[in-house]
Amino acid sequence: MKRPIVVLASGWILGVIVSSGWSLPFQWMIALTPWVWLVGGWMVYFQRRYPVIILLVCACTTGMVHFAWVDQHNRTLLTDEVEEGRIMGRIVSSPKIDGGWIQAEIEVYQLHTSKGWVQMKGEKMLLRVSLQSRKEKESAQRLERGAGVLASSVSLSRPSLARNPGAFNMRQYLYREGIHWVGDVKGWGNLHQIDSPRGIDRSVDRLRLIVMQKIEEIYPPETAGVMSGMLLGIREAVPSTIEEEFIHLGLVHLLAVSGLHVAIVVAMMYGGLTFMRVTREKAVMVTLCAIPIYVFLTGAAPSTVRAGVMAILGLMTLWWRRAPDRLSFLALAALLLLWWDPYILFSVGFQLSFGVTFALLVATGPVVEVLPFRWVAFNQVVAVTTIAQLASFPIILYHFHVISWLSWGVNLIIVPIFSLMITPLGYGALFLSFFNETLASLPAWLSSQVLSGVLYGMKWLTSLNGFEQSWEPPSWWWIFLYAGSVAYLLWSYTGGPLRPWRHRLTALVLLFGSIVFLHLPWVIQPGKELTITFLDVGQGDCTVIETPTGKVILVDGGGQLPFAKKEWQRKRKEYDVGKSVIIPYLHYQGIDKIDWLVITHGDADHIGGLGAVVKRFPVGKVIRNHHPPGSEMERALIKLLNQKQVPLLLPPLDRPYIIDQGITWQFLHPNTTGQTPGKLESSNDDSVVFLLEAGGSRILFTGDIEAHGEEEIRKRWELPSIDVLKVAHHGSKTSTEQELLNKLHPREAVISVGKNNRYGHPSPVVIKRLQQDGSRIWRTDHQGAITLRISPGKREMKAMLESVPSLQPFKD
Amino acid sequence: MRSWWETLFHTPKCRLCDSPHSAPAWAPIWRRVCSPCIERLAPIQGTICPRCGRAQLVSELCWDCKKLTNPPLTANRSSLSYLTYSRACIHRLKYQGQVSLAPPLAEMMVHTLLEARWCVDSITFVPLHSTRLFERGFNQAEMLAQEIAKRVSLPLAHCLERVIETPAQSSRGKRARQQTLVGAIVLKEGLERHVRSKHWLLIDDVYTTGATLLECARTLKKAGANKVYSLTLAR
Repeated sequence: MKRPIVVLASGWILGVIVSSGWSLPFQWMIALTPWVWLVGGWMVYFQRRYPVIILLVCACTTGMVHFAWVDQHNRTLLTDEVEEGRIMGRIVSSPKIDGGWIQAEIEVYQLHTSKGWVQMKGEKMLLRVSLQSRKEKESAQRLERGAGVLASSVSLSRPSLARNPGAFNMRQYLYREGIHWVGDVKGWGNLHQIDSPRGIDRSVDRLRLIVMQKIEEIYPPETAGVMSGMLLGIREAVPSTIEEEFIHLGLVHLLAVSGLHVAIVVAMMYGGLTFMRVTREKAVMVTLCAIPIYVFLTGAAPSTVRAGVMAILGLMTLWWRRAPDRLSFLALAALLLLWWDPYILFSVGFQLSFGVTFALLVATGPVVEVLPFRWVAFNQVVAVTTIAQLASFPIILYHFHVISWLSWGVNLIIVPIFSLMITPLGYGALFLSFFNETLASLPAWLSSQVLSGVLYGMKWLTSLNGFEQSWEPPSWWWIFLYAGSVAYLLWSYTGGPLRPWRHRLTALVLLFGSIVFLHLPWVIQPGKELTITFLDVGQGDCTVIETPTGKVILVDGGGQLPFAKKEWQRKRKEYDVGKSVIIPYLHYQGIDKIDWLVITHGDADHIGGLGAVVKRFPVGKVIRNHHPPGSEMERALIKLLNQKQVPLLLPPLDRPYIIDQGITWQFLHPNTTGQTPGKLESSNDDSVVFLLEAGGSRILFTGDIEAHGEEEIRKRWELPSIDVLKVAHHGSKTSTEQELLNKLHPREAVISVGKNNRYGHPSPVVIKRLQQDGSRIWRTDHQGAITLRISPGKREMKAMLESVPSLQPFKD
Repeated sequence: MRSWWETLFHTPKCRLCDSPHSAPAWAPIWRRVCSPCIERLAPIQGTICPRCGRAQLVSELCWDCKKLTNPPLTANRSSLSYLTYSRACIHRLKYQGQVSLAPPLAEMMVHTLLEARWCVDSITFVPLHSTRLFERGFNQAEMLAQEIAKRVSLPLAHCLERVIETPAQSSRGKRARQQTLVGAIVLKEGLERHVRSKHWLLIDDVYTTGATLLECARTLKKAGANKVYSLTLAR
């Protein structure tokens, strides 16, 4: 066995995966493990057989037991549902202030409810405090990690589940952090500091703050934010637009302090010391001591810890004059992290850092040798970039569902600029600034200039459209197929002349085949059903219709009315329904274009998220009513559509149109012939209304139509009975009249409405009316997104939050 | 006994000499051998005699080959120059029984074989007399041939047999070698049909005068082989 630690780590990881996916009773596992160890030990010691497999199995069972043990103890001490209480605890994460909110993790010692005191034994909880004024925000900024606090009138709730398919699952995320409750506090006045900050964490935070202030002193304001993100890992300091560009181009690893940064710092430190004629042993000593400080100063993310552990081991081998075995060091780092927190395996940071590092360690050397370019350094960069891209591809698809085709090229050019110029100069300037700021200003100026140049180029690249590609998240077997074909490709191309050409060809075909298959699944397996998803966009409407052949109709893109906020209330990232709900969903579904965009009318809760959507996706045609844009938001949207030369059409009422085989839509409203344009009053009554027919089911989309419009439709059309009704105007009592229901008799009624909205939608009258008419009612405010799947003769409806039942019709 | 460090961590080594050298397990053999070893092995490269594979300055028939008229051996190729280090390697394999050397050395031969671009149907090797085989326990040529056959996926045939026990060739002159070999190598019984009208590849460890290989080739030719090539580790 060449690398026992690698085998051990692989087994352990396997164990965590198995244990998390398949819950064997914990007692069984505890009972089985000693036997596995005994039998394995006997086999290896006395029989000398299969040491690798036995070590793998033993590590796997131990990993399973460890994960199960941790998972068993990750339980809340609050057994019954508690709604409000008083909390005494200590803050254990650096408080984050964003707009009018401050948020921190808190170790709770005691909870006082109406029933009495509950001992919480340091269970973690997420505390959110809303700030009421600028003054409160200023005093909130002084809150430090390690402070003992008493929070009164805390309303407790479970963290939210994902409300849309593919959306972020807060509850799962916090569960893995050991957090089961979120406490909301209204007003800074309800949070009292009862003990001064303690512990080493606070010193780390203070040091971070000092270094960040130094950065702000030596860098101009345009680049200071990016520099503090890059050098210290303070993501909140990075302006959100720049962050979006980095994410868009697949460069976000540069903004976080990643393994690359640790390598740069270690190289600078060790190189600088040996350059100053310090002996190797002393240089190693100093660097060894500095690494943990650096890791904690930059926030100890999994990638930094990984790189720190590997650097420490590497320096120790240098000291002991041994050959470094980096693959085993990587495995050791993985084992350490998994021992500390087995849930870390599921974090993107861990997966990316370890996956990419593993691939780089295995493949870089051989790949560099087979690359044809004459310049060795260029070969290196090409090999590293390509390997990193190939290794991160499935992980990014699995978590983010979108990749920019520019990523490879941009990484190829920009990563060397960052790692050879900006980052070392930045750290150099930072180091010098502690002695003399004038001395520091030269490297700071130089790196700032280079950085602004890079940022300018990135802005331009981001403005180029059409390079982003959405992917449905891959399945497990696809990931294995992909990993296998990449390994096969490596083996066949770097194995020398002994590998015949057919292997290289097969590997290439396999790799491209798997990628094409993932992108165009319906080419290979057609007959996917028609899917209609009523997204939960809060108060507003947004429906995505996908046909079996991949045509996409987007009906509205709900959003909020922008209401004026004071400067101090502004969040770093302003909430945008398009960016946070609609686009992620479309990415998750692997959608890359919208064939038809139906804008029922121009209210903010129907078009608020469309700006971001239109910017990201090419749109085929737009159907909207005849009203000229009535708001600033709508004008901007129409302008954007005109810029992209998207044809704007009026709904054609003449006949049903065929979208796909067996799928037709008939527009019912508004009747635009003979209408005078320029009617400026509320256009709710002129909402675009259409009837979709597919696989024997009829679905009526109503926008915000009200009683008057309904009457017009009733008079003009002989309405059939329908299967699904998108209830008009979020269930307002001004719509969905009894006369209409008498004709439609919908079996299912979907109400797209926000939780606790200020309009009081949906009206109980309408709900009662629908129930009496025999409709089952689905509400996005209670049940999250509602998905409707239609295949010929079959209709299936599902809510995202399945625990909440739909309202059943009254039975006569 | 390995040190605790070497038990826990992998210390990559050269495939031939155990000095530190790192290369992935699937890399070509010339990557898995350290560069001092490559230099000492002196692989035959550049212009060679197109028939016997001797390294020389021009790419035409060498002096020895010009003298031969209608030789039974079509062509020969060798991977290494038979110098101190390669001789030592072959001795380690042959007389010290370091069988683990066979795969890397065979892989070097495969590289030479692929460069020669011959069209071969089947592989065989220079046989040992049964008493010698009993003494040594294995036939190094067979071992190399097995490794080669596995790597290029060609059938390996045990079709030759040494019936006269000849003294070790290495201690004798050129003329003496040729004479003692006459009739020493015969085809195994009942294999004539198997040999007929095929292109054969003969494997041996060392090519000195080519007497043994010529004798083997003659036997194969007599049995009706179409063409006979030979591949040796060193010459």
